[in-house]
Formats: sequence, structure tokens, C-alpha cells
Amino acid sequence: MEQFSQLLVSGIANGCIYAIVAIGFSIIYAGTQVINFAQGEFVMVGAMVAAVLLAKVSLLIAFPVAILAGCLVGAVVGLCVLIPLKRASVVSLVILTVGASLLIRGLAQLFWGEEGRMVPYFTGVTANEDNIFHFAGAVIGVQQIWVVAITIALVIATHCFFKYTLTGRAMRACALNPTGARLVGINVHRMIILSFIMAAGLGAVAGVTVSAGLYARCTMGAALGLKGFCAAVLGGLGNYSGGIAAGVLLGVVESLIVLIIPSMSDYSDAAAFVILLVVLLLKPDGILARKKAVA
Amino acid sequence: MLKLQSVITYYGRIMALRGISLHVDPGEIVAVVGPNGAGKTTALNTISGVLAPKSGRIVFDGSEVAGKSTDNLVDMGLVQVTEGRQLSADMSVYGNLMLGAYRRSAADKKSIVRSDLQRVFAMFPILEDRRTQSAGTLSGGEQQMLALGRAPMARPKMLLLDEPSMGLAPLVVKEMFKIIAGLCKQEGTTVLVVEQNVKAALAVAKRAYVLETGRVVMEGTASELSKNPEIQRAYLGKGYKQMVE
Repeated sequence: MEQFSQLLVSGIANGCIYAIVAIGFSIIYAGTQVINFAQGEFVMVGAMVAAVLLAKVSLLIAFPVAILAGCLVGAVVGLCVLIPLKRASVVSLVILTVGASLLIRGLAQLFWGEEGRMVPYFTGVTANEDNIFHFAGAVIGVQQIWVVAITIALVIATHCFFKYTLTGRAMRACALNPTGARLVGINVHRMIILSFIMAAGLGAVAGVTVSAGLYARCTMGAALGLKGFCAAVLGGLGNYSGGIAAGVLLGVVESLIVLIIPSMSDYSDAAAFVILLVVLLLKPDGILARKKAVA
Repeated sequence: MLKLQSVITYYGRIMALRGISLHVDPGEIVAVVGPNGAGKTTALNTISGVLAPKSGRIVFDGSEVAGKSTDNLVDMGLVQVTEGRQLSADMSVYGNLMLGAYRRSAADKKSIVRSDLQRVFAMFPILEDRRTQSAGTLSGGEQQMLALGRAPMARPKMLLLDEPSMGLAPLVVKEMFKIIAGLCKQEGTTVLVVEQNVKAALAVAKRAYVLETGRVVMEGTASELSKNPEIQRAYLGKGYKQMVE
């Protein structure tokens, strides 16, 4: 029981990170139909910039700067996708994002080296008794509470942005019907860049949050990006709530799989992809897909 | 208000407009009629900046606008009314209407935009009843009304209307054109309307152009054109009986 609740807690925390990354995938997919494989690198850039800065300044400065850095990288990738957007097929644009991700990772390795950089916990020092809560037999670290709180805040903020602000509505309009959006005077290209900036900003937040208490590495983006991608596809690409649910679920399953198959502990990463395969076979539109009306 | 001079537009590799010239004076309703594939919608899309013309001049409100982007043109007061199916279907009626005011929301105060919304609701009471409903769940006629109702939100000087009667029941068509005429009269909006329903268009327009295979083949006042035997035969279904006999 204790082990179960412990695994559940760490699963939820991991899943939250996948959920944030998944939102990033969905935002860009909704606007461009492009699956942005550089999403994981946005996460890495956020984590690395924060890690480098945290050696000198406090988190209050390092965190926002890391998000800004992520947004900047996102804007550049967005421009790279936007320029050939009209002439190129979606497949070539997706490959372009794969290229961009390799480039970003390569540059990061060039500048920051291979070794991991320590990122301290957001609050409190180490595994101090003050920073730990006990709940249903599980030990919950303050950082895990941070992860969940930040995720909830981001989800609410994203939801409100898309639902209640004019810019959010304009972005949705572009995703639903680009021509119609153009006719009311929305600059569709600007909205696409904005979607990349938002996705990258979210990715950077995830990056800083996930690496606190651990090490940030230049190679961390690929795995997180793929997990986020799994979550986004599981939830139905472009479906935000689906992606969030699938992200958390993925984290939990990945964590609990050890209880059922103890030998899986080294291969828990594979669990995500097995789930992805099974779900795609049964419900290709994602777990939360609504039934489409048959015309 | 608007002047086109030998405008040529390609749609892919097809020359869809083969040099058309037309003009619309301030406060006028002008119709562009013609059969399917004549280039009517291409003409509108070229004016509104969705398509870029290959050559020719387009002058709106005294300045050259050929090749300008749609958002710039909306800022200048030239607004193309979206077809009903180009609304954001998942978004509420209210959300769609507010998008109409997208370009001016930065400059204008919320209270002004809100009072415009009230004016639109006064013109289209049905939209107020449906304000929280998503646009995709409206009937075809209601969607067209929403598309038309969204246009005044931008405070346009001139409206471009793309087949407002498409897919609508005859009674609704009549109502649509009544509202369009009202918009022109009350708000002083200049209107260029592209229409396959020649009868309905000529009933409300002051002048009209007949477009066939990318060229203007006939022009004149609406009353002239509706008396023209060629038009009557081809578009209004008059004299059809004699011909068959």
C-alpha cells in the first residue's frame, strides 16, 4: 500500500510534466497541423538556462529568464516553419522541426557541454524533514507539490487565455478556419509564431520544474518530448484536456507498472509507447475523442 | 470608393480573372452576378487581399491596395463577410461576433465595442437569443446572419459579400437582402455583393456587373439589366417557355 501511494505520487508529478509538454504539442498542431518535434528541446532549453543561471542568481530571476529563452527559441523555430509553410507539405515541415531539434540540442551541447548541471529545489534545501509531507503512507516532497501546483496554474491560465481573451479567440479561429480568420483581419502568420512562443514557454516551465532537485542535461529533451508527444496523441492531438488527462495517466501508469511487473523498472519508458500503440489501435482519435457525426 | 482597373488574377495556373474593371461609388450597393466559375469569388478574394492580383490596379478610398494584406485592408475599413461555413464553428456566437471587432479592439474602448454588439443584436435578434450557442449548431440561415452580423463589428466603410443567399430558403434570402439594404441605408456602408441569385441581387443593387469566364460581359443599372432579354433568358428564367415552344 505504501509503495503504491508512493509510486502514485511520483507518477502524478511526472505525468504533470508530460501534460504541460503535451499542451505545447497541441497548441502548435492546432495552428499549423505540424507536429513539432522540437518541443522537447524547448523543455531542455528552459532547464539548461535555469541551471546555468541558478549558479549565480536566485530562482526568481532564473525562472523567468529561462522561460524567455525558451520563448525566443520557440519564435525562431516558428519562423523556420512559417517561411516555407505555404509551399511545403506538412510532412516536410515536421521533418524540419526534427532538424531544428537536432540543431538546438547540438548547439546546447557545444555551449554547455555534456555534463549534467544541478538544479536546486524551488524551496527548502534537501530532503529536510520540513520539506516533506506524509500522506496515506506516501512521502510527498515540496517539489512534487510545486510541480502539481504549477501544472494546475498553467492549465487554468491556458484555458482562460483561449476561452476569454481576444488573442486566444483569434488563435482558435485561425486553427478552426484560417481563411475565415484572415477575413476578420487576423494576421494568421503572427498567430502561428505566437503559438510556437506559447508552446516553447510552456515547455521551458516544464523543463525548469522537472529538473529541480535533479540534473539538467542537454540530452534531456528527447525523452520528455517523446513522452509529451505520446500524451498529446493519446489525448487526441489538438485536444487540450485530452492531452492533460493522458499526460497524467501516462505518468501514473509508467510509475505503477513496476508493481505489476517488477522487472519493468528499467524499461518503464517503454510503457508509454506500449500504451500509445494499444490506444492508437483501439481509438485512433485519442482517449477523449468525441464520436464524430457520420455525414 | 472602390475601383478595379484591368485586374488579372491567377488561381493556381488558371487565369481566373482576365482583366476586369469595375467601380463602386460611396453608399452604393453594387452586384456582381454570373454563373458558377465565372470568377466572382476570385474577384472578391482579390479585392480583400486573400489572393494577390497578377496585374492591374485596385484603388480603395483613394489609395492603391492591390497586394496589400487582409489585416491592413480591414484596418482601412474594407471587410469581406465570411461565408457561413467560414465561421469558427466551435466558438460561441458571442465569440464569433467579438472576433469581428478584432482589429479595432486594441484602439477602441470596450464600452464602444459593446454598444456595437448591442446594435448588431438589434439588427439580428436571433443572434442575441443564441449568443452562448456554438456557431456550428446554428442553422444555415442563422450562420449566414452571424457572418453578416459580424461585419458591422469591424465598423467597415465597405462590405464585400460572398453569395449571401447560398443554401438559404427563398424567404430567408429575402430577409438577408432586406438587412443588407438596411445596413447600407442606416450605416452608410458601401456594399459589393457577389451573387448567383441574380433576381435577389438585382432587386437590392443599384448597379450590377455580369461576369462570365473571368470577364465583365455586361454592366448597367439594376433596372436596365433586369429588363435585358439576354439576362432574362439566362438568369431570370423568363421567356424560357417561349424558347422551348
